[in-house]
Amino acid sequence: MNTSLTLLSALIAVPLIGFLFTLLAKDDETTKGRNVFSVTILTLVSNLFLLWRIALNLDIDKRGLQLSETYNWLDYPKIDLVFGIDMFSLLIIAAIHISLIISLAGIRHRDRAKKSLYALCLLFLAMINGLFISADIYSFYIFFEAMLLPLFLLIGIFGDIKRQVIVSRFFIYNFLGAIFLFIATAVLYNHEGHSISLSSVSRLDLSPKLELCVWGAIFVSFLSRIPIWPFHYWISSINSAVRSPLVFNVVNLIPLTGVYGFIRYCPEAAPDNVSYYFYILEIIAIISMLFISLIGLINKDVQYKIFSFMTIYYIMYMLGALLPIDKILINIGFSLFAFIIITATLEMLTAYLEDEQEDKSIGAHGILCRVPKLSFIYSFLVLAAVGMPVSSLFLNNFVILSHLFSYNIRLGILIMFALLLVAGTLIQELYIFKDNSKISDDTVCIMDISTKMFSWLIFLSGLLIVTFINPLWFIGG
Amino acid sequence: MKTYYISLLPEITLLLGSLIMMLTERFRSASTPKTNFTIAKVSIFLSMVLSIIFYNQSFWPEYFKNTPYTTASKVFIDILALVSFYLGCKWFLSKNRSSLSFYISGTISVLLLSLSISAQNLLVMLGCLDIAFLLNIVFIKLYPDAEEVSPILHRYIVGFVIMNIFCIVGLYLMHSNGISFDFAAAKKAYKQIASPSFREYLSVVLIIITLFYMLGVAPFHFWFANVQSVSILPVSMFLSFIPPLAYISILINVLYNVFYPLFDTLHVFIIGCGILSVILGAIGVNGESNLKKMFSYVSLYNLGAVLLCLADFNAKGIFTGFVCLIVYILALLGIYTVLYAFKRKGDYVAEIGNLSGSSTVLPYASASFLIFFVSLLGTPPMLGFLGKLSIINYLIVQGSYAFIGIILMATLLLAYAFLKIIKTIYFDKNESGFDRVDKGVYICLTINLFLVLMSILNPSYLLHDAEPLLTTVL
Amino acid sequence: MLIEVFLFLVVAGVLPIAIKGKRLSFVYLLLLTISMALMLGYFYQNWQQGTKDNFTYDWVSSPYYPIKIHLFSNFTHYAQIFPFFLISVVMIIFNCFSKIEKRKLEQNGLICLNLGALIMLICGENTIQLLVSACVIDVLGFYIINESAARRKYIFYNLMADMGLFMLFALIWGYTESIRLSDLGKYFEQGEHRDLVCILLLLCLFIKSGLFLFQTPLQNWNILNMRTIMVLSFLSTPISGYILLFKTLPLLPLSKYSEPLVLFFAYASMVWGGIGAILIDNLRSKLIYLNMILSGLMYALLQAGLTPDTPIFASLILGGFLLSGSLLLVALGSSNEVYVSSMGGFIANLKLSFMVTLFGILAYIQVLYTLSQTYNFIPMIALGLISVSTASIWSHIYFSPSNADERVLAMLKNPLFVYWGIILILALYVLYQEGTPDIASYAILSGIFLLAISGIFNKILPIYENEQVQESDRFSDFYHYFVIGPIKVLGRVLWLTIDFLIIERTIIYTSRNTVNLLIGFFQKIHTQAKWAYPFFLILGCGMIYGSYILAEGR
Repeated sequence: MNTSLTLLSALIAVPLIGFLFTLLAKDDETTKGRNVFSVTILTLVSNLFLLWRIALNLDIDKRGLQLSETYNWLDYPKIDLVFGIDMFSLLIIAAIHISLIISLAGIRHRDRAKKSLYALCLLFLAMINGLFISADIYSFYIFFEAMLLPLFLLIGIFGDIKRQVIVSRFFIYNFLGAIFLFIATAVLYNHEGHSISLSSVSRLDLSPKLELCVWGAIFVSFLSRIPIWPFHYWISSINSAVRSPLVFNVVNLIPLTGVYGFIRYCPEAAPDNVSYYFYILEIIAIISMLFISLIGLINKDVQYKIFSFMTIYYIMYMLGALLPIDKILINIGFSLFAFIIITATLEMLTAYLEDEQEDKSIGAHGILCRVPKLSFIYSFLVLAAVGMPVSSLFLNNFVILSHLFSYNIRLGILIMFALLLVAGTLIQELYIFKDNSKISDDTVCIMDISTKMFSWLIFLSGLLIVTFINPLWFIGG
Repeated sequence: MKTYYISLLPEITLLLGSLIMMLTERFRSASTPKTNFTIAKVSIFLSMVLSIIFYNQSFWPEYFKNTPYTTASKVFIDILALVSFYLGCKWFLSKNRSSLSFYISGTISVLLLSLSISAQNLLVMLGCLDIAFLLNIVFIKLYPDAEEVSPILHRYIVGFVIMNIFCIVGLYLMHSNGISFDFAAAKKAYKQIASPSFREYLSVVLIIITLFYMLGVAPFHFWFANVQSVSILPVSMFLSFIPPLAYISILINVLYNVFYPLFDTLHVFIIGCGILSVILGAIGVNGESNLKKMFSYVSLYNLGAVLLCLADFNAKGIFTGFVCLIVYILALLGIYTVLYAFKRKGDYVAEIGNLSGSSTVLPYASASFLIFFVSLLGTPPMLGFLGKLSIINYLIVQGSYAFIGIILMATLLLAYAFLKIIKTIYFDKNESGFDRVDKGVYICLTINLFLVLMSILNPSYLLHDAEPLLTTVL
Repeated sequence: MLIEVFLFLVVAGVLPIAIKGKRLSFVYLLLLTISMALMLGYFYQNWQQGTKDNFTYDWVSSPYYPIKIHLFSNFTHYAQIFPFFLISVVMIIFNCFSKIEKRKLEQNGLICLNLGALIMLICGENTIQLLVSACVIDVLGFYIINESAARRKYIFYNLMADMGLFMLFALIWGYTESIRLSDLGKYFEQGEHRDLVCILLLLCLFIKSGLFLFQTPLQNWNILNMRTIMVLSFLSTPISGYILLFKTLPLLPLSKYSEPLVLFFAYASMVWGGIGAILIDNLRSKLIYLNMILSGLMYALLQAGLTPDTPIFASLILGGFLLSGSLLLVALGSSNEVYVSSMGGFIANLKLSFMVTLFGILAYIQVLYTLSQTYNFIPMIALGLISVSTASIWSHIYFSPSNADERVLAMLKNPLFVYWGIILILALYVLYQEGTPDIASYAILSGIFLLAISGIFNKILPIYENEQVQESDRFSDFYHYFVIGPIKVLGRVLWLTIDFLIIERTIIYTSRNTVNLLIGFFQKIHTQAKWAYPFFLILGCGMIYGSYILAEGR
């Protein structure tokens, strides 16, 4: 067996080991979830350490996936699991780990989280790590679909969703997308007679008819993950129903898998024959951006607003990734890094606010007025989210947008308009939270976040600022 | 010549086992399920060992011939029978009911199916299968509610008679066409036929549909779900694994060693049955709330998929079908094992609704249930993916894109039904408690899980040397 | 040199925010004030000595996206920075002595940071530096405001403007592949949609500066105290908008609409500012309107050729500041009375303040008069408007019969020396800079005085009582009904039609019903066993025959 299990495989193995440990850990009234929480955090931190080690081994200037590892999985059909990583993947994986730590911190005292929550979270992490280090089409597909199960269970068991029918719908919808990718993968595999690296999919010499079919399936499968119009409903209905910050965060990583799929399958340009798909995609993407941003603006649900914000950004990243310019990929990566952290933290704080509102039976108006620590962090995050120069989002988005503008100015303008709308949506929400016009001395206040939590959030804010101070470090900035 | 007689030992052992069980029942007042199980276990185990020892020795090679392929099939059946009997014992112990009929019928059924697998003559083969099929009546009668059983049993017998009529007509036509019932001779005769007439075609198809009927393949599947609904859990489990596995083994043998020259003509019919089975199986699962009936439709779906692989009459097809079958059996075996764990106030859970909230009380069993379901769905990285991958890959090689679409859409429907069960187990609140689970059930479950999970990491463990073994049938 | 100032400002700005609410905060406050004053002296000294350096920080040294942060110390930058530095120090001192300000240390820290950002903006040589500085100024402005009602529109408008600028610079970079301001001209050769670029740029800057049509966020500041309004007006977004325009001037010739647009908005702002300063009762609103005249004037003069690196520009800014300062004196003297209709006859108690005001206004008039000699009628229009407005304000505050309540009258007294003293010094400084006032300046001042005491403005008192005039915000209503309203309606309609009607009620229901129909049919043929058996047998027979036909056909 030709296997070289090293650092990359460990990125999957460590969460799986953590998963087993979590299942075995004692979790009762006396431990109150401390054991499983510690195991989970330790796993995440270990993986971050691994990522750091991997980063040291990466050659930033080298193009393509590096540190390749191969695992002979099946002889008939001959399938090898091939892993590889580049700075883009590494940044996303790191951001996911940090975002999960943030979400876990958010649910630590929210309710007595069961160990299955942590276990599923680690299982999901293993799968999504696998996806982001996959270097060939079969590995990619396997993890693309495999992550659905822990996701489904996380949403269903811990999402606090009242209408469970939407969970099944969500799963079926994503499952359908995965089926399309499976067909495309199997067809490509058989066409070539062996597995294909992700970067070479767009360079395959297929017949025009086959090309259209395969790429059609690939497009549909990735779009099924991105809340793009008119398929946004399945994800949006979950997003607005989920109450757990961890689950919300996990659900919001799903569009990332779709965007990532596009990035990996069309690294520079897709075949000419399917350029027609790109025009359609651009049109749908723009309609989606405008549509979702408009609905986000009128929707009263904060979760939906955050969802609309995330969706718009994801679609923008997708459009950026589809440009025939390879060099902005790393900009997208670093922008996503900050974006994931910002949204995870925002969601965690929003969930905290909603819980407090429910506990104290108070409205959202002025809820941040008497909680300076929370108010400061929340304001900072909103400003970061709308693209103020406090995180790597600012400069990297500038680069992405400038490329989009030079590609198609009308497209760029519409994207900007959508970005403006979602930014307005978030600011509007912040204003409501900070509106002290209805606050008097005897108004019931929520409890401010603990100093420990505040310190952790300050650290994160500092991290974001560091990403702003050196926003293009990866290219020698 | 001595060797030839000795090679009968596996069958004799099974027969002896059945006799001992009867004698024990007759002469021992305190007969317990454990005693019957022990006798059945020993006889089947011995039969299995002896089958392996005499894997290529035959007593009457003109009628029953042992090959590595038949031996492997028999061993597989024996193992499944052992598991089925072991878990069945738990059921009978729990219910405090006589297990004699179950174990005797089971052992004889295994004997008859083993003989059918080795058979080299259509008449002998169908005769053994007929008796084995009739033995199911004993199984059905084990169900406590006689009123419920009666109409189903009646229909079962009517169906059996009709199919036998078809079979006899088929054999008659074959005979009237001057074709021998001996496998080799028949194959040779069919090779002479360039383009079969409808009469010749009909003679073959009528025999095949008898096998399909027994196997429960659409559109001849109608008896299976009904019988499952009135089967006690051990019977249900037995019927889900042992006969179908034997029938598939026989079907492969017959298709390749008798009807192979008629490939072009039979191909369409087999594919049609496969597709219909896949579709009806997937729809049927969604319409059911009874777990056993649900799984009978899951079987239908999977058998349909296996037929699609076999329809092309080639080695890759057999191998792919085998992979699908093994994956399906392992997953379904796990599911049945878990069903032994779900017991409320002494009653084994039969309806989906009764599973509500089991995840909190029986987390291990529930998690296993989930894993097996996901495996059945073919979701990676579970073992079921291997099956899905094999079949889709095979169909792509064949260029059967429409079938791929049908199979995958059916998978979607299957997923919808499974989600209902998963939702009940994991998302619904627990209404009342579950009984304590027998350790033996957990042991079986763990072994099954281990097999499934190990196969995920390295499927070669499971499929080691399967391909050369299977090609011995050709 | 500027880098030292910049770093000092960052440290001086962050420290007070970090230590706010701690003991000895007064000591910190004092230290900050003294050090700021000393730093101003140091800055002035370097300016006068002509100290030069080319400090550049390679923020991103990639060949694809080279970004440098420039903080060149040169005469141009010194000249531009100076009035703002001076105003910052003055405002810090005012804050120190304020009796009502609760967040002195924090506010002063924010002023320091804001000045730092302004320096970065002024020294900016590339669009990224401009954008970052402008955004930082917005954010700092947001924190300086500290009143949710005043923040709302401020943040929305500025966010819009920032995103517009973001888009604009991204667009330019996309075409020219350069972020350097010196390369803006390349857009002539490579860029498309030039009119769009120009109009977008100007609209964003007008929003930032609160020019006509976009003054609403500035008007919302009228609930803040006078000092905060002055800080915001002279150090925050209105100024950053103006500087941005100065920096991006090479883009204006791209479109033939640029000049008319700038001039229209500049004149309209001046006129609207003048009308507002006369007709609005609220003293803080008057201050805002007066600054609107100044903003309009600055834009018009920039179009006419007056750049902010000239000494007269500094005097102009300081002149405007003096006018605001004169109103601050009144507010401080009258225990922060807000409405001029509730004042009157203050000359009796606020003689000293009035005298200082006279100097301040004289300085402002002198600056405008000097400008009018070069730029003809533009400064004259502003001068006219400011004169009438000032006369009206003086009339209501100092010379009309008293309408003040007893509490205000009882507390009426000249503010602390530090306030009027500084304003007086500033006025003298401006007069010193502009030379001995012309006769015309004295004449205009006399005219204002005569107009104020004539009582003519008492006729507009009824307007002060008209709520429609005083409270209504037609521009906000316009945006609400014609921009935001339709967008929200569109969002709701889309949600109803697409999400609810098409997806939920049509697609999902149809799929569910189809599946249910299939299942129902299936169940029917299976549960009715007496029919199911024959049905499937016939189906099987049909398949046998059909397969044969198909196979033969093949």
